[in-house]
Amino acid sequence: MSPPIKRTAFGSALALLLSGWAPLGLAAPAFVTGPFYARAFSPNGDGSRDSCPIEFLATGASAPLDLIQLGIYADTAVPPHPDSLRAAPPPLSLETQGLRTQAEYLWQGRAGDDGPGQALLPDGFYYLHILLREGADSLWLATPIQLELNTAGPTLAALALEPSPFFTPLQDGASPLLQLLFSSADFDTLTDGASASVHRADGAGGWLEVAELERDPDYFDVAGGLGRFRLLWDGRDAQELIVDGSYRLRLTLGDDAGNPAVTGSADCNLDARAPTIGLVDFGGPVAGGQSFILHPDSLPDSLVVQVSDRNGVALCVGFRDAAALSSEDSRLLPQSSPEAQFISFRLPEGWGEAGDPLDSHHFTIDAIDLPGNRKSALGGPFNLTLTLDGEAPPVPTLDPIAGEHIQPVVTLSGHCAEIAVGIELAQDGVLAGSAVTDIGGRFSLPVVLSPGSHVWTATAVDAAGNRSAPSTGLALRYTPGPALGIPGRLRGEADETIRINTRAPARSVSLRFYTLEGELLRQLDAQGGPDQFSARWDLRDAGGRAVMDGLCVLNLEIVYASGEREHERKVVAVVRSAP
Amino acid sequence: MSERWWRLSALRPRARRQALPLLVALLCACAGPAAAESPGGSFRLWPASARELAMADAATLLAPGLESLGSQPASLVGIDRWEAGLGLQRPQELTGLGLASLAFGAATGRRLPGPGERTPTSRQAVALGFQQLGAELADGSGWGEWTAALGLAWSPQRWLSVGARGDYSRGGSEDGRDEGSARALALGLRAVALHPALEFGWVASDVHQRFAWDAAPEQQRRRASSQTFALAARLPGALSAELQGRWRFRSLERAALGLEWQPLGPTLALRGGLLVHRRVETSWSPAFGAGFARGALRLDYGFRFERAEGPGSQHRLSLRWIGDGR
Repeated sequence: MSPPIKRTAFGSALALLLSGWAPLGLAAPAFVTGPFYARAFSPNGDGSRDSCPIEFLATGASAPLDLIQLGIYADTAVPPHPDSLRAAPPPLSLETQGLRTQAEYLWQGRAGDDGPGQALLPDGFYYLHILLREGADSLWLATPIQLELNTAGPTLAALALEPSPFFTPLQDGASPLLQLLFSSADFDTLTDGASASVHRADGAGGWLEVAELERDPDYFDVAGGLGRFRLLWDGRDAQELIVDGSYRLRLTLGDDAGNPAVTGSADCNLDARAPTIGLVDFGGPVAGGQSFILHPDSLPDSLVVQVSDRNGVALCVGFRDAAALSSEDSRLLPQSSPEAQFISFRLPEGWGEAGDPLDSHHFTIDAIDLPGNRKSALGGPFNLTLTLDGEAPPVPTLDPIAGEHIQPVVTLSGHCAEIAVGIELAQDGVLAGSAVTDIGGRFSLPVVLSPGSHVWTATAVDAAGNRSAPSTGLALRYTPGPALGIPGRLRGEADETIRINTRAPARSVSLRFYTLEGELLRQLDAQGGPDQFSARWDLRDAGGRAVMDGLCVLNLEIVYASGEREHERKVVAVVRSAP
Repeated sequence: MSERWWRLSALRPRARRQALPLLVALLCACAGPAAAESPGGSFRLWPASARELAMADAATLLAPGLESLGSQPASLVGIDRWEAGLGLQRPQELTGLGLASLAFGAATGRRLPGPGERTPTSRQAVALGFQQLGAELADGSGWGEWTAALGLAWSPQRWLSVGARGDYSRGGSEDGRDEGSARALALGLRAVALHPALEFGWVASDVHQRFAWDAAPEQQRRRASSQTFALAARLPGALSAELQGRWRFRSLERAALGLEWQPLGPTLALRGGLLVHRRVETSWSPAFGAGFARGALRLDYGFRFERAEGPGSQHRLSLRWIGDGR
């Protein structure tokens, strides 16, 4: 039965229910509770819904029910009149007794007595009438029930993905939804169902189900005599994530009569990423949005970028100072492949050569992959600024510090009149460490002294590799061994450290600061060991108060590993450099 | 005018003396603990007499005279006509720190002890002091400070005296890179209270520093304040004692007990004391010493013992020339 015919029949049944039978039911002395039944069944012998069970409870008003008759008709337009039924009752009857009777019948979809000798009725809608006879004069006809005999499930005529098997849900201008369209000659939206499962390729040849789709109830079209329906997917999995990869959409069409489901599948390629662009020069692939300051001697002949995409690169264009580079200025290198293209962009003619002003150029590179994702729309354009710098930075200066040291680690600091410039610290001309100047041009770096006297210098090196002349040398002497390195004047500065080298491995070193009157101001435990200790006093007493400036007495207590204790007293002056 | 006021007063002298501790306590309560910001430091006048060191600094009352210039200016009224003094101090096991002091004082209006009065006093006294503090710092560099002080005292009644002392200190590093100065002011009150043999003392000290250290962006200003209360008594058997407490940051910073015994009269004095510091940790420092007098000359020696973890024991020697030879 075609869907339009089904809909017409179903509409007529509803009209009959509302207009013709209700008065009879209200006036009847007996009534039916229920019934319970399978609305659709398929007597095709496949073991699924091969018969139609009907159950109901009949109740008499005053006298016992003596007959229940079931009548199944193919047409509801001519309902049986009670008198006609009494004269020629339908074949399906149940004998009963008593006021209340629970009846059950299993319709096999056949005519007559519904026996195996009867022919199977054709597919279509049928109407069940239940007749109750209570004595000789009482007859009641229950409201009809629509049943569907359906031995043929929905068919799948065609399956398609629109707009394309390449699905780019994030690309501007592209459809954010993928349509799974199917055509069917007999798909009934009332009795048939369509669903799809989304599977993602796991990379090992298998598929992992990640989402479930339902038919779009608002979409129906007729094309070529077939009904056209669709399911929509926004590219998200059950965790609401959009993951690049190959997907398979498996469609299942089924009905409520229990006929075997029809399946079909379509593959798509979800690509939510734009091509990646990386600069091959300057030490390897680097992302965009950076600036490079180059020395004219280290300027390359061209810029080589690598454009990669899983689904292949369709187009790559370059701009220099907002002007598009011509095909003569951009060249596809032979080592390219469909997934990774190497493109060389030519630099301005004569840039960086003698007599040319050392300016900068801005490059923008954009690319589109085969599915249509554009780099500038999805990940932002690839920008690059190249600046030529051939001028040496200013000569840095090293802050003076005490020349004699008893412990090897010393923090050297200084200044350079250029910010964010690298500072190389060298001991006797040999590079020993590097630092970068801060926004005030200051730099500091802990360095390790070698025993003996050495001269330390600082050299500024900018990003282009230009080097300044070395700073004035700072002579430092490191003498290992037992000694005290106590500043005579304590200023409370961050790098002000009291150093103690013990003559033997020590367990602890304690420092006590006293006023000249003998009152204890602060006690500190030195860090380090076993024979080199250091401590720093913030010029505050044990209560956190800044001590008065002037002289105080330091008592140094060394507890050796052997248990021996040694005390040393020194006078120090507090000359605080900051409030 | 004050005598007239006292004549008009209904209080008898004994009653006035009994009311004085209440008056002093009220004065101190109104003043409150002196504002205090910082402990420690130098740049001020230190006590210079060996008698004070031997009695754990608890030797400020019972009219010691010029010796009290560095500790209790109200006791300067103990000077009889004039005095000159010299003091030297050296720490033990701490090289490179030395303190030398020179002082001169004069007084007028000498009163002889009256009936019931046991401390002779003058009506007015003035004293000048000079102190030199030198140190060799831990890095071997030199440091020096000098302090000049002027003390004034006035005793309107035998049992009462008040005094004030102003210091000016200056100094810094030997290389001249770090220089500083400080001003200090001390106010003192001394009174015979409750009994003719009992004396009560109160000293408020306030130090203001002003420095221009090398590498400092601007001049630094600091302040330190403290209050000292003392109670002294002349005991039977030529024995005298003083109990003293110093408050800073609204708590007792240190306490001291000093004893002096003169078995042969003024010719020989044997002294002892105990100083207790209790701010960061409680420490005990015993002290002892002796004094010898011959004619107008007084020679005193004091020693204060400090534990090994302490700042170092102290030796102090002082010499006085007393003008009237009392």
